[in-house]
Amino acid sequence: MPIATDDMLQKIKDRQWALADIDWNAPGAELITDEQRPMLKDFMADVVWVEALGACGFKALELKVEDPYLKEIYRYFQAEEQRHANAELALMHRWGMLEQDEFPEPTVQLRLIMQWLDKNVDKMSLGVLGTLIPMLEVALDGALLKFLLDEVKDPVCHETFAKINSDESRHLAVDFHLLEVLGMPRTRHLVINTVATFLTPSVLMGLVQFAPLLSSTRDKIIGIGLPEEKLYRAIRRFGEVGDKSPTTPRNPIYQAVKYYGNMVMDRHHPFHRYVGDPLVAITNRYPRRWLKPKPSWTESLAYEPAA
Amino acid sequence: MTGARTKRRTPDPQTHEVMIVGAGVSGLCTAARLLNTGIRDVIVLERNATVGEPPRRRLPGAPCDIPSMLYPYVFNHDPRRPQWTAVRPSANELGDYARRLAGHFALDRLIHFDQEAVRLEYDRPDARWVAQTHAGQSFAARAVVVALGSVPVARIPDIPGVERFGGTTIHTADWDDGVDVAGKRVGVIGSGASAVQLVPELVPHAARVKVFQRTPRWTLPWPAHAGAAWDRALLRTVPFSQATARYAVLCAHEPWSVNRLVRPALTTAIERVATAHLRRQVGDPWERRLLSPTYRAGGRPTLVSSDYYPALGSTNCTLLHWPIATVSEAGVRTADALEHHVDVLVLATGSDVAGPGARFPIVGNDGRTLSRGHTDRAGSYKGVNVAGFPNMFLVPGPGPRPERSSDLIYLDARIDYTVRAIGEITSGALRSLDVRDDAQRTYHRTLRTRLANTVWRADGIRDGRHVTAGGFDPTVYPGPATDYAAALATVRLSDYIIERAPARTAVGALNGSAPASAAGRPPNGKG
Ligand SMILES: [Fe+2]
Ligand SMILES: [Fe+2]
Repeated sequence: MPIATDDMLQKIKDRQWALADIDWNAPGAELITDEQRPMLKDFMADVVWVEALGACGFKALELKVEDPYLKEIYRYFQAEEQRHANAELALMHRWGMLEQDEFPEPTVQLRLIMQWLDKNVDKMSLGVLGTLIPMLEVALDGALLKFLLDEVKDPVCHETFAKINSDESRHLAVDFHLLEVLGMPRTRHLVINTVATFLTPSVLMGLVQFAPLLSSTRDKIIGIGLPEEKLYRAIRRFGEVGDKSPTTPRNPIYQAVKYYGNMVMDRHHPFHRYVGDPLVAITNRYPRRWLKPKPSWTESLAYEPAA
Repeated sequence: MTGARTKRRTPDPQTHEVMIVGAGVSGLCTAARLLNTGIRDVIVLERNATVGEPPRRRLPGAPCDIPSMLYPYVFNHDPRRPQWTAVRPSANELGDYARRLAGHFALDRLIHFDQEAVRLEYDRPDARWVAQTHAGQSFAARAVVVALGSVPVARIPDIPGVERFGGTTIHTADWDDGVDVAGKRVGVIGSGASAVQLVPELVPHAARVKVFQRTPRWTLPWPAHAGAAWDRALLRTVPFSQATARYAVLCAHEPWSVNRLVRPALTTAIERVATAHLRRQVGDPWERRLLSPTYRAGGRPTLVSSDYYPALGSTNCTLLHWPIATVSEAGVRTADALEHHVDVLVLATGSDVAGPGARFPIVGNDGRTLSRGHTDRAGSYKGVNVAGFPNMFLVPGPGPRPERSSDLIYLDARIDYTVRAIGEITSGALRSLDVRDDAQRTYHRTLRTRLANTVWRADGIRDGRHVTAGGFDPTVYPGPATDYAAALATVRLSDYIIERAPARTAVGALNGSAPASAAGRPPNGKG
């Protein structure tokens, strides 16, 4: 059901929180086991950067939507994704995974996407952005973050993710709202018309670059012990919720993204053997010096509550 | 103070023909034009001891809004008026202009200095306006022109917790020269004209400046930046270029005032120049993205500054584009969960312009007081008359008023209209001229419809800036300036309730041709 965007905006404004609301020195940090630490550090680093990329995506959406309330909502969502990244950084510092002023180094896969997004995000159509972002959010929210809570016993981590998850529940509501609007007869027309622009070489390159990120993150998650079935279920939820709407399934991009998501999550799909795995292998060997310098927004992340 | 004593039993003041409240540029212009049309019994009340005193509170830095720059041009199309020397008005160029105006037309003799009006009331039995002043005197006239500089009323942003902040809070519309930012951490909320003006002044002194931006604005470079002397010489010697420059600046400010066919090209041109300016001054692509406006140029007033972007680029200055979650005791909490600690919080959130009723009570026909807010102009007729306030004319003074320009641009038309209407009163020996309620409502409705249907919507102004609680912002005329001028070109007497003077004072009726009957006037088709 489409939501009332003005009410949603008000709700978002009312539910703001800050790093200063959390006691980062409270006991519980010692509950992280030495066995967990290296894997968890790797995983958290990915999550931090994925959140930051989400912020970029929402910035692009803000520029694309017409509804002034929705525009403002996306302005908040950008900041909220950045907030999640900041909070996760603060957790990493709490757990002693980072030195003073150290930032986790993004993987090559992430750097390639960052680079690609920097150049192309504004060229993507509303239909593509509005469909891809919900899928990534569902994956992040439904699988990764909930899983983290099963594995990590630190109460501060639970407190932090309770806040993050409550933000994410609003993100999902708006994500699915947009999906629904995109499937409506009037907008669907536009969406279909922009499919052509969607298929430019640069966008295709982007999709290809997303594959290794998804594959490698997926493998990492399974590596720390998330049952494959859980991950698969989370991704399926995207389709389940979307299919319930009368309009969403009529959006062809939605169908494509749904298919893509299911494919990536299904380890037995031939996609992995022929595309995903080779790409992960190639990108892992991608020389770092070929990468362009990190965009300056990466420096705006912070873990100290006071700036 | 003698006020209390004399107020009670002022001798009945002499009734002049016209009383102008305020000897600023607009008041003096009105006076000069009245004299020109042969209306000589004019008095002007001025609260200061001389003409052209600078405004008491002035925001540091050079004004960045086009209206302030436009100033000289608006008043310069008449060859009798003094020449302006720079594109950029000097600190008190307005004051200088007022002084020159007073000298040129020998207006000093009309002015009662140190007479700050504290109350203005319509005296119905005698059909005249009576002003009480702070000094305890009374002045009376048949017609009154309220020509006060606009009073900016700080617009307090809708940010939770602003009142909770523990440091110094200051609003740009209410600037206090006593605030010392040296070595302090300063937060500036807002990124409009006043922020763009102030930030370059703060950065060299403050320890840190954080600018909390909401809407990036189209910003043009100063035209005189490259070759000031060359530019100035050209402006002084070649009147044609002055006209062109004026036109260009006007268009840049109000693209909707130009022809529909030209508008897209003009808007694009402004955007190109502003984008090139941004590219030249800001190296980092992400920073540039944050500073790139998302509306079409003209949707909001275009700004002019060559120092703002470099100031943002200083090592001690940070631009933040996150929404503000709340203001706390210690500073500003942005939605990215960080708390920015500051010592001084500058609210550069713009100002609303209060109507003339804001300074002192103005009591009309039936004892009603003109309301304070600028929305009372929603209930005005052509921005000049208000029903129930006969023989009263509002000619708001321009004064530095970031973000709003229409008064400035349309001031000329208003003054002419006022002079013409007062001419009708004196020559037709009318006792009073009071705009009809229904005429005022019709005018209001026309504006509203126009606002709803035209360029405003097309240009995407829907976010509540121009659409106020009262419906819309009546200080902005939703159409080409020429339309407004045309609407004000004729005094349409059928829109007024006219009380004729009793025979003994009807001197004008003898020399006037046919007494202007309300119905007999040909309607001029504009409303
Ligand atoms: Fe998030
Ligand atoms: Fe999210």
